[in-house]
Amino acid sequence: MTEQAQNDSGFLSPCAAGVVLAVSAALVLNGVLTVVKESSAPVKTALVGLGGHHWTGHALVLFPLTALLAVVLARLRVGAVQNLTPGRASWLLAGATLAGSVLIGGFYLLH
Amino acid sequence: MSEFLILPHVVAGALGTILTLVLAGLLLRSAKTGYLDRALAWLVPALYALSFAAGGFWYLNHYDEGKAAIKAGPVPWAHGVVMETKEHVFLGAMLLALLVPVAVAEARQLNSVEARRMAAVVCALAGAMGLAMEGMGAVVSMAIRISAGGA
Repeated sequence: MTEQAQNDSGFLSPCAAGVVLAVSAALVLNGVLTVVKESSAPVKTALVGLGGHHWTGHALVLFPLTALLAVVLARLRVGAVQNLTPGRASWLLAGATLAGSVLIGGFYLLH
Repeated sequence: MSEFLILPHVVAGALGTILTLVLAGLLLRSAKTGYLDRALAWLVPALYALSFAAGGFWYLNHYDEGKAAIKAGPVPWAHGVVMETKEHVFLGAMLLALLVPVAVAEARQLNSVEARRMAAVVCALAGAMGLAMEGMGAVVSMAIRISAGGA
């Protein structure tokens, strides 16, 4: 199936689907990495070693990982990528944004 | 002096946030993705990136003094909860802002109401996070003033 044919059927292109899925995963991963580094001194130290500051190290892990994940997902020939509709993508992104933000805010609120 | 260094962070962030919400409105109102939509779609991540870089620079180089004052003052939660949340949620806001041009380009290619709604949702999410950043930034600024006895 060509990319144009997929677009005619209402699915996102593999490239856009890969980016949407990667960003959704990264939004949750951002929350998980925040909780893990604040709970584990070795992880926080490793991030400091990577970027000079834990926040810089956090960003240096998150952004390249998102880009790599987007490239890998865009090339995968699986249903989750090939059959992603704009409607599903919207819900996925909204859910991931909420999950990541609640994870971060909730963690700092409780600690 | 550090108050002036934070200005590009606040101004670019506020402008980027407003533009995401304007773009969301444009995408929902019109039947086609026009030149203005595409221009705004690139301007949004540029402004978020400027805000991100300026805020990051200020946070890494000038926040320590304010942080110490907040932690020793009457509202230590302004750092422990608000600033800590802000600095990490901002990474997610940046990711969503980078997704805006991809979503708008896809909306143009698919040329459907559902695809334009998806692009509008991405803009609205980035905008909502931008608004949250502005609000949390205001709380942190106020906490620094209160802790320094200036409010």
